Amino acid sequence: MKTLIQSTILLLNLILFFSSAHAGKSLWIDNELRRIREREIISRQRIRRSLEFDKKLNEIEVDLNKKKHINLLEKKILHIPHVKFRVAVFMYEDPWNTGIGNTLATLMAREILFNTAVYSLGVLTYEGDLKPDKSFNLSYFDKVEKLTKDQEVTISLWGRIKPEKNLLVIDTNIQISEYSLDNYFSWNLKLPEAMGGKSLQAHLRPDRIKLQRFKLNKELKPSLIDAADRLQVLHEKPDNKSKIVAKIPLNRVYTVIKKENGWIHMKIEDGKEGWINSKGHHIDACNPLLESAKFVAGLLKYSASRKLMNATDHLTNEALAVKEQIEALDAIDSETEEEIYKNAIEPILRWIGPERWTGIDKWTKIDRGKRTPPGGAAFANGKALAEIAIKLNKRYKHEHFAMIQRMKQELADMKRRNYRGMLNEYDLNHILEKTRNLKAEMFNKIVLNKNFIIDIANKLAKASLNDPNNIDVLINLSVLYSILNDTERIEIVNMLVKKAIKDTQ
Amino acid sequence: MKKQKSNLTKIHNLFCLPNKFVFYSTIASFLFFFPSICCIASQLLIHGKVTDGLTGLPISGATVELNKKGNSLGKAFSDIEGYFSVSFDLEMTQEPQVLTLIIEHDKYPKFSSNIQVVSGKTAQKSYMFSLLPFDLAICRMNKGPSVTIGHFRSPVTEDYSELSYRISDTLTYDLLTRLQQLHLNPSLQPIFLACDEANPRGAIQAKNYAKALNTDVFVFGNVKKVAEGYDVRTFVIDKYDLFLIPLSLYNKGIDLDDPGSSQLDSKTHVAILTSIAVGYEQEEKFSYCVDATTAAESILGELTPLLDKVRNRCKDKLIHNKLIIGSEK
Repeated sequence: MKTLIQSTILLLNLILFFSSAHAGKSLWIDNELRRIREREIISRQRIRRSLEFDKKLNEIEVDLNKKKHINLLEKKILHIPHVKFRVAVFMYEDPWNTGIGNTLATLMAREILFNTAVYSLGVLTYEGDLKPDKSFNLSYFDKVEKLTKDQEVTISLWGRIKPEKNLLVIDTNIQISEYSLDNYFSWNLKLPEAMGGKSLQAHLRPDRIKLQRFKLNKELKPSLIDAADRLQVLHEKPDNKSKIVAKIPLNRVYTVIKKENGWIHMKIEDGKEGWINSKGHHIDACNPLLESAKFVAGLLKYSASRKLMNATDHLTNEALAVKEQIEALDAIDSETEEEIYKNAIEPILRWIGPERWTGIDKWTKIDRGKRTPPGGAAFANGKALAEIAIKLNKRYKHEHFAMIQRMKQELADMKRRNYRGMLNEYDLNHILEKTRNLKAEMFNKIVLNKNFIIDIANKLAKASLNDPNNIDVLINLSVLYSILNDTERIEIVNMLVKKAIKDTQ
Repeated sequence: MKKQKSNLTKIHNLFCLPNKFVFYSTIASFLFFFPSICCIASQLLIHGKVTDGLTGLPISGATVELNKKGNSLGKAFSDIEGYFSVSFDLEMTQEPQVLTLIIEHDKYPKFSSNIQVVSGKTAQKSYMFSLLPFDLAICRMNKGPSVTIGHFRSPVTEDYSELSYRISDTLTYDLLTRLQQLHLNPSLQPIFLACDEANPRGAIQAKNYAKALNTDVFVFGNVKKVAEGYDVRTFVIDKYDLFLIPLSLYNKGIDLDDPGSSQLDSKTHVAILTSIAVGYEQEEKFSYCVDATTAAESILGELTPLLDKVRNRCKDKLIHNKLIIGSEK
């Protein structure tokens, strides 16, 4: 961890942007939404003006997501520019005024900032309500998406607090942005040219995740507030007894300089420097609560280095499903059929089919449930990809054996021709190039059995009945029907894709 | 065979005019008078009945007025059985015309509705209007799926009006987030409304409330003080006749001062989402219907027989069925 943080000194990339719970330092949700709306109005006006030659001017509903209009969009103002990953942490919804909405956001934001093993990270905190309001016609997940899309956020975390007798029930939700889904949490399986050469696809689902429902004893509220408060001040030295030199100020960007023995050396934009105790918030009772932040840190780390962290017993089965789905989809491009079956299909079968695992998971202690898995048809889609990958692998291996024999023969011939049976650099390059070409040629010649494709397509079509707007499933069906030259079904499925995009926007 | 003289020839003979002149002048006069011919005003009649939305009883003495772009076309009063008929003159046009019918009564807020007239005929033969009393009219939903949380009655004089607001707030979060996880378009997500004025006297009246308020689901209840806190009974009824009698659920020993008391049982959540799924089904939004049942399943952890039935009905109507190869056989 030390090496990792030190590397950030050189890159000056690990940036913190946050504000005090008490002074309203962070971004205000309503202000941000107003700004986004103004930007959209300006962009729409520009696009309309550019369409002036088109007589249908007023009939066109301007779609800001259309790529051809991208140059006409009003420029975004990023609150934290020049970072690779951005996380948004929202003040927890606190309808019964327990007074810890900002406390929880501060704890989560610090945990993510201090313990995420990525080299470039920005953390934004938002204050305000996520509940439905008439002026913006958006709420909860939808409102978070609108706000964070504007700031190119990778993952957002938000939640809600509700008192219940002597407990505080704390819900934590996360959502992965569309950009991150496309860039870090998507998988493709390329098909041979003889089968059309298209790719089958999978995206992580669910992308809006109910991550944790944690019940905290009300008596622990003061220590929770105290822990968050201690994360707001900078000490002169890495020592709790040393003088406090600064408080985290309003609307300023902070840079993490280094980390030493659990202390973070931070520099404020105005030049002030000091130390903050990264372990300051680690009171035992709130450790399980921070599992949500650790899970987010794990997803960020995966985005950067494809390494995944475990889901723990303090999280929901949605977290477990996300973790196992990622592992399974990663295993689809394994070398052997056995590996694909063991690492992709077996984890998927824990969630779907007659052998679905139910009840408490023996490793994570998370209740897997017994219903339709989180993410709807995502596991069925992953299984379809894995089954096709196994078949392609088998066929490839069969052809591969013949190719090896041919290449061995060619090598022997070359050795015979050359002086003392030695191979020169030219010959080696020639062999390598030829092997590469032959491998690609061999793969592209593979055609899988038509009945097998029909079987896979039917399984996917049935899965889509339980998750009708799963775009991955519909697009993959379109690819499979194109292999079968089934134009009628291609037409239906393309219409369904358009409808699904419209319905889920 | 002798040819009969045409009328034009007769006119020509009468006025000793050349044939061509008669022909062209007739055409010209036809063209001159055509606009007034096509816009001739004809007399129409609109029949209907005005009733009380909650009791179903007729409302007599209501003023029923028909307007076109703010100009009154005709006026009438509803009789003792609530019936009315307004006669009015309307210029005939080729395009459909939209008129506004306004109903006014001392005990009910002003009500208006659009009436379409096509080729001199109203779209319906007769019109039924149900009015809601002043205090309830604000709770009537105009469009989209909705859940209305009504009054929780008490045998004592204590006031629990806040309870419906608390329950509404909790339900909004609990159910809306489940639906949003499935990316339902915001414009089609249900609205949750606390309406403490909605205070039905019994099961049958509760059904009327759901229909009169035009809400997919109507939730109400009663509170009883017991030795250890309060017993709260919650009823759920829908406007689609999914539940023939209100679904009743019982929470014992609740501390009403504790916000946790606004947490409804997961079966209540499922009942509400099932009704919303039926609403989507009625609107022929079958994929949304399936999604609503999925959201309900995720709350309960399993499918109830009713939920399963609704889901299968919606699944059967999905175009996706045509994708299964061999299904056409």
